[in-house]
Amino acid sequence: MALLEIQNLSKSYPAPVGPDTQVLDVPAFEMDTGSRVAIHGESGSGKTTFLHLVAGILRPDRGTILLEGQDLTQLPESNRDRLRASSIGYVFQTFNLLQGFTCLENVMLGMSFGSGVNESRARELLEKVDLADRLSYRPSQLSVGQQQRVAVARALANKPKLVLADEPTGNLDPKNSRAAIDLIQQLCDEEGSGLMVVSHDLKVVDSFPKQLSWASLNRVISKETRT
Amino acid sequence: MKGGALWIAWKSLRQHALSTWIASGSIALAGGLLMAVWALRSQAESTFTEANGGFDAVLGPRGSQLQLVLNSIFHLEASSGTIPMSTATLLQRNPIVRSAIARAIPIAGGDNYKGYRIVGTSLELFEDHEYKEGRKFKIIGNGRLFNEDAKEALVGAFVADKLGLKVGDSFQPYHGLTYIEGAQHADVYKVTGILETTSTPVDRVIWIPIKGIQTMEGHREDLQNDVSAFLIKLRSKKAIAILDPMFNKQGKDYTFSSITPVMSRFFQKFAWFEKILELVAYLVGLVSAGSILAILYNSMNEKRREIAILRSLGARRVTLFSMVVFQSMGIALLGILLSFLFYVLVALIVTGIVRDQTGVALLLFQFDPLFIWVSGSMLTLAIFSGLLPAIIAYKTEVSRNLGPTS
Repeated sequence: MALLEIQNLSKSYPAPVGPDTQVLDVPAFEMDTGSRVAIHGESGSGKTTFLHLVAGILRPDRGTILLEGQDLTQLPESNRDRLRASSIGYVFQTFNLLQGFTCLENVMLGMSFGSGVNESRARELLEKVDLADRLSYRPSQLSVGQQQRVAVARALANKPKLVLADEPTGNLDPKNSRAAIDLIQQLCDEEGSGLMVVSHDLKVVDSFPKQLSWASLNRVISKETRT
Repeated sequence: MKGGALWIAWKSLRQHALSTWIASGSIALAGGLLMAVWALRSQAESTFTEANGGFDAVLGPRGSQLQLVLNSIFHLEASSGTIPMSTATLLQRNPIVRSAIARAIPIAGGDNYKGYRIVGTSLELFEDHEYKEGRKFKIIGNGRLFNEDAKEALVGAFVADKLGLKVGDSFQPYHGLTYIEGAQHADVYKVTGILETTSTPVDRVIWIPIKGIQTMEGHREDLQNDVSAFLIKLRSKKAIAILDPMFNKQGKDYTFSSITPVMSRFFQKFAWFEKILELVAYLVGLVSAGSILAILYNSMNEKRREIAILRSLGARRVTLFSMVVFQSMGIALLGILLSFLFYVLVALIVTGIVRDQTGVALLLFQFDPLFIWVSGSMLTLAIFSGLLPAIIAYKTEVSRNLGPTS
């Protein structure tokens, strides 16, 4: 069974003047369980919106998003929240760690809305991302590369079925970018999680077994490209 | 505890420790003030009204009822004059009065020793009288009562402690109620006993035989048969209704002062002051509620991103709503705890002052239902103050606040 199946997904935002602006129109998309996909596209082209829809943060105007056969678009918000907490991990470009929490607490925070806090697993994950000696550090006391590794550990805290990574190397230098993307892939492999990365960086995309162009997925971009 | 709204709320309060302490401090001030004002008022009124030394009334010279009670029972204020000792005989002769009064003990004042009042009285006060139900005055250690014909003294516990007087010590009284170094009488008194602490005004007095005051060197000879007042114990409180008009309306020589109603009227005179303090406490309460609202509201503006992150991690709207309410409750609980500390501090100072000035021990450290009432009110106020920020947290749009988009 496919991990993720998307059909006729579209999303518009209200425009300041005139009709709504459509940013996304994806006729079909599919991802297998435990697979890895990288989507390449320009900045500001609606990739984040796509990830937000897949994560259940946003609701589409129309279309279906099946995660292991369950249609997210038909679920009420609180159920989508529960599903996101238990089945989806999210890695952000700006890491989005909570500043008042230590590394260990940030990872445990990822668990607290899902499978429940498991401190030994949180420690184990931080050991895996080579931060065993930084457990009680706060994000501001870490380098950007280390912060991204905490974010990766947090995304995997609940053993998610799917990890979504939005420009995960956007704030990193080339050396750290490579290391970060390798780490995300390695951990997702170990945990058996599917991984979908969106990035404008071809070097990042090139390291994935399956690569897609956002323009080929999103008909809105295709139309713009044609015009 | 780790995980969930409570944990996040706790971490957030710690992260914004200064704001938390400021808001809690204002709650402490409001709660502490309210508790102090109300507890002090009710304790002071009940204690002073009940601190009657086991007497129901005072019979003294014509004048103010309040002054008579303050002077005779609390040993404050000056006496408004004297009445003849023969009044006792007069009381015995009148059958109505005789049947109404169980005991009438004379007291005479006018001297001091190093600022503490010397009061003359009869042995009946120490031998037969109960200053509280079932409790008579006791002499500690190897002391004894004074001899009514000798220059001997019984010293109240507070005075003995302050002046270091002990059995066998001698002293010379000073004339008047105020200690003036050169105004010493020639008479020398010997301490025969120290009274056990009673937490009543008696603790602040040096007691000598009534004859001692009347015949003290330097006192007016024409007043040698006079006393300041008679402390009255009634057979029944109903007798007040007979004795009050008899002495205060029909007669012109005496003032009959019933202790409890006089003290109640005295405290009613301070009701306006209490109202002002109450108003101040309410205002501080409102300010503290406002500060909680402002602190949480401002932090909401800063924390929209954090809230969006939590939502992206799967936190439900209701979890975030609860988190903010828990934060306001946390601030309130800390404030309530501090308000008790504030109250204890005020109570310690006030009980010390009242004890020093009157000998009366205010019972400010016992449970009062108003503590629950004040704590509950502060908590409710804090929860209401947290509602608006909690609604903002509830409504925060995740997608718009998560940071850069690609």
